[in-house]
Amino acid sequence: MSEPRVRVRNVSKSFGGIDALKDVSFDIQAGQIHALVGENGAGKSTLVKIITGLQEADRGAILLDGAEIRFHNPMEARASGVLAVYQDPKLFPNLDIAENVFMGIHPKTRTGLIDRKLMYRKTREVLDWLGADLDPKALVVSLSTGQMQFVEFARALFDANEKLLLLDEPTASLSPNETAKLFQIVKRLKDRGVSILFISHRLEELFGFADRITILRDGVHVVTTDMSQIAQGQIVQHMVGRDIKDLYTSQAARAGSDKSQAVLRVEHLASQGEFSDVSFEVHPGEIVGMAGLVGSGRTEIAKAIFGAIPLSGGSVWIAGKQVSVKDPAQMIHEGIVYVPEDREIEGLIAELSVSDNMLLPSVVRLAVAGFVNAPEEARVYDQYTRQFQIKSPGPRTRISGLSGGNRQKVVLSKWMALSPKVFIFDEPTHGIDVGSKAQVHKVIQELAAQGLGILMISSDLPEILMMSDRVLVASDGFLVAEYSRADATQEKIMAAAITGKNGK
Amino acid sequence: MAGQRFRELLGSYSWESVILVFNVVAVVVATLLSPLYLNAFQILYSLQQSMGIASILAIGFMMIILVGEIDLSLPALVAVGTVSFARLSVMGLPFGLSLLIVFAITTLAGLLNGYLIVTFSLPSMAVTLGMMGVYRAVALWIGGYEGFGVDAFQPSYIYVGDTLLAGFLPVSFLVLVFLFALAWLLVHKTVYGRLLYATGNNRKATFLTGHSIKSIIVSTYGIGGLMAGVGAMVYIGQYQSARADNVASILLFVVACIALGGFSLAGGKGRVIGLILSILLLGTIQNGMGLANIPGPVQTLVIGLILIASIVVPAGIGAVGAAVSRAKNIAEKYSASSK
Amino acid sequence: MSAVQTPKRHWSVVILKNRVVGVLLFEALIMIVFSIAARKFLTLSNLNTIFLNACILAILACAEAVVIITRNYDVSVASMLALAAFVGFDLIKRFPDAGPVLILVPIAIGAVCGLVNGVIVAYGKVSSVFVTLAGLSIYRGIVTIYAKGHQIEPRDIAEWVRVSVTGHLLPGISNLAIITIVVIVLVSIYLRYTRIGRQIYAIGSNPDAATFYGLKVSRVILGAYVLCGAMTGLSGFLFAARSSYVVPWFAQGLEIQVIGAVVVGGVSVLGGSGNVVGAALGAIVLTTMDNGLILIGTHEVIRQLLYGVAIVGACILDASVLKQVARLLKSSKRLGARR
Repeated sequence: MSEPRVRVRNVSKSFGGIDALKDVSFDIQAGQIHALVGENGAGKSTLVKIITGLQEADRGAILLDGAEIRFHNPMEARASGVLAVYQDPKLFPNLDIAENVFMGIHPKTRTGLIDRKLMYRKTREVLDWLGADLDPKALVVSLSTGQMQFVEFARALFDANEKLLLLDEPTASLSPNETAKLFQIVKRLKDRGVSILFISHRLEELFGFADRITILRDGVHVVTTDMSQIAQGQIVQHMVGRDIKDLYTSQAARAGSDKSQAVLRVEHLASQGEFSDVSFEVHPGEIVGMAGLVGSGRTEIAKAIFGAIPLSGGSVWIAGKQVSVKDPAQMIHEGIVYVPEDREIEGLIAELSVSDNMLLPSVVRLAVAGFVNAPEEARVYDQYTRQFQIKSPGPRTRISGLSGGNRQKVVLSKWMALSPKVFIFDEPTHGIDVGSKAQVHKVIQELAAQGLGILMISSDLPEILMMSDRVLVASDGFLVAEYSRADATQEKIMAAAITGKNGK
Repeated sequence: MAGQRFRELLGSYSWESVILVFNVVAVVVATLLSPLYLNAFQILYSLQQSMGIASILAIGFMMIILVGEIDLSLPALVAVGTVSFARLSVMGLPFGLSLLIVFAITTLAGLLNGYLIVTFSLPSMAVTLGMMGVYRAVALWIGGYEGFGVDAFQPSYIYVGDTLLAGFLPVSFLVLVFLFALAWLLVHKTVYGRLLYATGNNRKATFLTGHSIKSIIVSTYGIGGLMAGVGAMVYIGQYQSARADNVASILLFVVACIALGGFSLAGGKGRVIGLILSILLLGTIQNGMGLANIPGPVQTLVIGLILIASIVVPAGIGAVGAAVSRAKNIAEKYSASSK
Repeated sequence: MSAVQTPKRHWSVVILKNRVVGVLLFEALIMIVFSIAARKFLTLSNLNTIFLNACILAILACAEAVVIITRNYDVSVASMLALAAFVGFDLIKRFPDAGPVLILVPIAIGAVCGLVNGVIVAYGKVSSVFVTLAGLSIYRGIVTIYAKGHQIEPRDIAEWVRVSVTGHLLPGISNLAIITIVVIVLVSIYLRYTRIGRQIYAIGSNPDAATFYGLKVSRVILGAYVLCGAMTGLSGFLFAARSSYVVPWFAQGLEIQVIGAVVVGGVSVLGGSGNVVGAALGAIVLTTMDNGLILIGTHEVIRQLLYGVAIVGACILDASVLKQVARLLKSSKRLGARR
């Protein structure tokens, strides 16, 4: 076997003390389709960013044709033949497809002006080669997400000097038809000798398509092998196969949930373009976990129930009373609160103090004739900093001065003063140190013990298994499986999330 | 530790402290330039004359800026107010009734601005520029080309802007003090003020905490409109005239006060005390320029330069700080990798 | 290609692609309305008057459009124009033998003003509204200082200046019209057929993507402001050549007409769309309406209302189109693609 085209050598990267990649190494040959597989947060996207120059590795190196590469931005990477196509299209909506493909590199005539005819013709050629039935003069804003993805491909592929093509979840927004076309294109590139790194969750698509597969788990390289030597079940096992017992030490024995009337019930919920036909229940004292891949619609389901994004259909009952969802203010009043996934941007206001953040939902309730009730707010602050063991220099400190774990605790505590009935957590321990994770888990369990209903969205499978009384699995905008605490395993959940089929 | 506390306070009020220092310097310079300067009446009166109406508008503008928006039509609303007052006075209405009517008009106009911006998600700069034209036309309709002169106004109308208590204290100054006290309470002591800062810094998070961003934003425009009405009330007393082109060039002063007062034009930052200090500073500078007989447009030029400086200097300091910390990071990386 | 067809013929998408056509249709419509309402409207001499009156506004709208397409504003154009015009004409007065080469002076002055604006906005990364608002007063202040109380009178204006505007290089078409058309065509070609011109659109359309792809965003924005300034300087020359006197408070308040022309012409203030031909047409539309309304004998107030309403209306239309397109995109998303 000849010298590999691409060598990833001992690449490590950590963000704020949390390891995204730990000593990852593997090779990609020229003309090889190499699948990169792993859970959310396994490190795949980080690796792609490091290769294309959007991030810098802390340690390790990437070798292209034997020489180490260290790009500073995607343009540099492109000049050396390393191209990436990401999930979220970065296009110019007001311009047409051809302009998007050629932005910054328009072809010129002899007079120095842009040769528009040539530009449209070349775009037409690329689009034809891609098998995309698109008009180069169509404005990008009028395209569907799948079509936009094809424009991204056209942008990456038209000048035919690619050595390494990185595709990050390229089929996520494509129809089966479009996916088939994409696979044809990738095969043609492979025949040309291009190395392809193909990140995907859709394992069944990889068989008969990818040559080799590398599996990452928690930032660590698990295995690299030929696709022909491995079965889907084994892949899933490698993705999630961790010894759960060692990870979470506290496992409060809970009495089980109260089988009385559901505190939250949703039926046939739908939101245009996000999810459809979602029905489930949460009982008082119960923790319902919701697992699924990124983009499966879990956050959208939560936000829609909370009133933050519009519902296009379905009904919501809270403690037996049907509620017409309008906006978060109303849903908070009805007793539902939501702890957002993107804690820093949606859960907190970085420029405000710890106390201001903690009291933002209740500031109106506590107020006296419109004036801020300072003594009461101080009391609330003391109560919750003690109860949740929040380490804060003082109420007036800017919240950006607290650690991630403590910030999350502030986000949790801000809802406590409102005595809600239902708590929706969206990735509650994402990006937090282990110690604080345990504390957050304890809090969630205590809330359940007090009789609240908990819906917990999480990509951390051990966390889901440890905490949940029941596990719902979302896939591509639908709920595809439900497992009881006894039945649920990491493999079953991941399999359901990936295939969209209930594995029972 | 008192020293520690003092340093913390200084740190958080850094901008305002600098402006305070500049204030002291400005007073010293003004006194040196002209011996006429250091006279309580002179200071009070000229401050009132030059910055009185701008200050009132600045209070309204401040609310809108805090939530990250802008309203260019406020000076036009002042003109609507002045000609309305004049017409109502000519019609014989008592001042109290006119006051209510004019305040209602300007506040509703402000609310209209806010409603359009919030309902259609419009860019506030362009829309309020357009509404400025609309309101100027309305003022023209009410006031006609010639406008109104001193004869139009009943004595009660011009009382507020014209009268000096005890021979030296302008009534309008008291109005201003009252408004600033109210503004300070509203912004720093009430729930509403807390929500203004929250909205200005992060609309998404504030929305997800169960507050109505739309109501908050529209209400700031309402306050802006109300302040325009108050400004009109003071104007007719000060100048005893009312024309459609009143206060055509006041916007620059208002914006300069706001920027110099430490307010971020993107919203969420700034304190009332900062605005008060910046108004005092700009008023002193204007007063000094006036006493030194510097021509009008040159004074405007100076105010423009101060505005630019207020915007650029913090951005520059921020950029320098970022560059320094980047250099530090690179240096650390090199020393780490060379080990 | 995909089973879901994006409805390409939806009205919102059509409008997005063909705004110039929309403006032309609107112009045709109002011309029809006015020719019915006022007999004197559809005469050759009147149409000629409209066109000539529109020329200078058209060039200004063209200049402003370049900046607006990058998602910025320049509200200092009227002051830049006055500064360029006054200084330019002053030099023409002082060097009567220098001849037409002096037309470069106002253009250069405008370009320098644009450069200053652009440097602060592009590299200072501060809000263009407030910076150019300051610029508005600063440039006006500079021209006042320069003028030292004097003004420029018709007898000071050299003959070639007058000819450049009123002369007829080509039979039947005044030089002013020729210059206007040439400028607009050149800028139009620049924006459409050069890489930098296309980047101007890209930056306004999606600034994050532009930075991501390594486009030199700051440099392009700076270039846009310089181009705007140069064209403003040129229009200052033409404006002054057409008027009899040039005074320091020349063209005050022109901003609202310029931005009105730009938005009516289909250039969105959100950036990234529209073209300078549209902006020029917007100028013609507004001038036509003004002219027609005068001929009908409409009250001045309604005419003043015109520009304000045009701006607000165009913004609302813009926002509605965008909302509708976003809704279309949502409804075309496919769920459960593999089931």
